[in-house]
Amino acid sequence: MMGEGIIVSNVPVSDGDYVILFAEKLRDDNSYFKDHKMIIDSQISSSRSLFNDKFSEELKNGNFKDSVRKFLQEIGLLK
Amino acid sequence: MVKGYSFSDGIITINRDFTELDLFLKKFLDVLKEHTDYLVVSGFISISSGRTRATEDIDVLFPKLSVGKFKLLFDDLLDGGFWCYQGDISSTVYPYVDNLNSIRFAIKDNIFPNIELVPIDSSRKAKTFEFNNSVLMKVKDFVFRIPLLEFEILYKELALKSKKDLEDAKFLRAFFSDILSSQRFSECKQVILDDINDWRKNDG
Repeated sequence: MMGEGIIVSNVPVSDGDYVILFAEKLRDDNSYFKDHKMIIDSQISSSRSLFNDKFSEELKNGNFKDSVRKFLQEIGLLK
Repeated sequence: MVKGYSFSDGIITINRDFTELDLFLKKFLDVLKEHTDYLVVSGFISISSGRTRATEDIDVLFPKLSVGKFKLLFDDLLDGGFWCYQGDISSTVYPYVDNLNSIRFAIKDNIFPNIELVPIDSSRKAKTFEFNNSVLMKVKDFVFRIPLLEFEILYKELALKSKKDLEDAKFLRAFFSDILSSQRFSECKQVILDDINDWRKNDG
């Protein structure tokens, strides 16, 4: 909003604006990589445990690969 | 204050600690490098540079191997603790490679993350250009080969064009703004546009 006495800055609005803002912060200060590491590691850990839980029985009884392949075919990751 | 990256002697050094994804890729490349050249491409370049988004796979290009060389690689990957989505023996999996279809590897007893290993040959002009014009990226002591940043950005903007890819491109343009080259952008743009035109001709 433009108005007398109001300072207008480049406030990010879209997702893309925030992507650029974070890239510029990270470019100039690597301390932001702590947040990056935490989020990437957390996502990998969550994804791993989600699917290991889903196939925990198959891991125990030795049918892991067959069951996973069937699942991957169902979701289109394996032809 | 330490910058996010530095660039010298042709190596882009990202000033950060390892993530789980780095360690997974490093374990895979330790085996792959013993058998063939490779190029790490696509989303991992953005994520390695600091883009914070989810991924389940890392794309790695490699030149199509003979059946004998592929068997040695495949068996070493299994010995190294990986399993292949497409099959348990190299003779089952090789037809995928022979037909230039991707194959995927994950750590034994895991599904994600996985490596999407993409075979290429000279029939894929853009991929061949990408493969032959690479730079090195380094995180701590882990050095790996990636495409020209300008190619990576333009491929996302011109060929892939999903929201995720366009945001990756924005990130890379902003993060690497100090080292991107307009001349390299021009060279890469022509290669990618030619590739897109080839796709369109082949499609119809």
